[in-house]
Amino acid sequence: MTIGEQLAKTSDSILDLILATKDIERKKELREYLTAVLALTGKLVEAKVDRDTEKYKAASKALTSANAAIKEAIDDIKNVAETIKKLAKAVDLVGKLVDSLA
Amino acid sequence: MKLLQTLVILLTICVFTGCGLNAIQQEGVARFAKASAGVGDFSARELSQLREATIEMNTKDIAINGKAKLTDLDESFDADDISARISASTALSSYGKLLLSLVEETQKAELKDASDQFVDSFRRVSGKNLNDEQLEALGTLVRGIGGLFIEYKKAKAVKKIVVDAKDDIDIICNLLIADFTRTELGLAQGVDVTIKRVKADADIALAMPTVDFQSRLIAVEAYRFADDSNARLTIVGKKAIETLTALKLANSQLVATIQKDKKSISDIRTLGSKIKELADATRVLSGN
Repeated sequence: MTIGEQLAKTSDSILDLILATKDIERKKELREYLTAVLALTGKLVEAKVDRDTEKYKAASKALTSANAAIKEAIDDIKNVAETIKKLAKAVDLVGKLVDSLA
Repeated sequence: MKLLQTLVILLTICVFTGCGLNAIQQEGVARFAKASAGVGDFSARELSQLREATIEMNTKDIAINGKAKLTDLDESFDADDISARISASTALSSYGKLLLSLVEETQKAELKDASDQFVDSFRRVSGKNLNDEQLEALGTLVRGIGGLFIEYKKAKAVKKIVVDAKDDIDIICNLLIADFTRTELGLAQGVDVTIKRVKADADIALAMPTVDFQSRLIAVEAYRFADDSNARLTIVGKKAIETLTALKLANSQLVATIQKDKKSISDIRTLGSKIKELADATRVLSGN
């Protein structure tokens, strides 16, 4: 069992006890235990969330580069039609040149 | 006629060397791209929703004299942490959308326009030697070669990008899976902490003998909100983990299909139903 699972199981059990007991003082006493477990869990969560944030940033940066590569490829594909158009213009110019020489 | 001969040779080379993605690869990329966009959009939305729920629960907890801190209403959802996760989810979504636009046929009209211009120009030069049928055939040929060239370029780009991005997509999936798991010390476990605290505090507030009607109402509302958040975290979290796991499997299968020409895309095909289940779960819990 991981530390996260152990902490979750412990806090679940304490919460169940709080909800089950009728005695207000007993509830308050149990809440102190629950608060301590939740505080420890919260600290561990924040530490891991911070560590993961750096991993997210690195992966996100790499994926943004992949997205830029896709955009480039899309532009490159658009250039095929542009190239044919340029070729058409060149043929047109040759035609005009032939006409002028005739 | 020499130009025509050259074009025919180029066309033949392209046809016989197979310059595009095959049908299975195209289907695989398109399905994966749609799923990736869907998962990215979902994650960005859901993480923001979890943050809002945490702030709301802590606000209600303070109102009932609970243990939440006024100075730390968002707890694990600090701006920098949440913004990094939303950026990664958005990058995943953009990746899917861009990949889809790369494999979809969006250049047909441009290509027809370009080939029409080419034929018009050609008519000026050789119009006296070619009849209408031959000119029409020339236009079809230019379009065909342009199309094949586009397919070749698409295939080349997809084969490189899909393989290069594989590891980073896996990393983002793993990080999101940890963040949606209640016992992985990620964001979901952070929300779980808040839910339990509010439930305990609301229960104690309601058990106090001197509590007035208005305070009881606030405590009941706090408990109900924590219970709703708990249901959402359980149901949506489970579906999110299943979908992210499926996306990872599909990512590996896509790379195998692209690199090794594998014929099976069963994992990629099941992604669509996973995305639908996730959307349904989110819709039901949002009351839409």
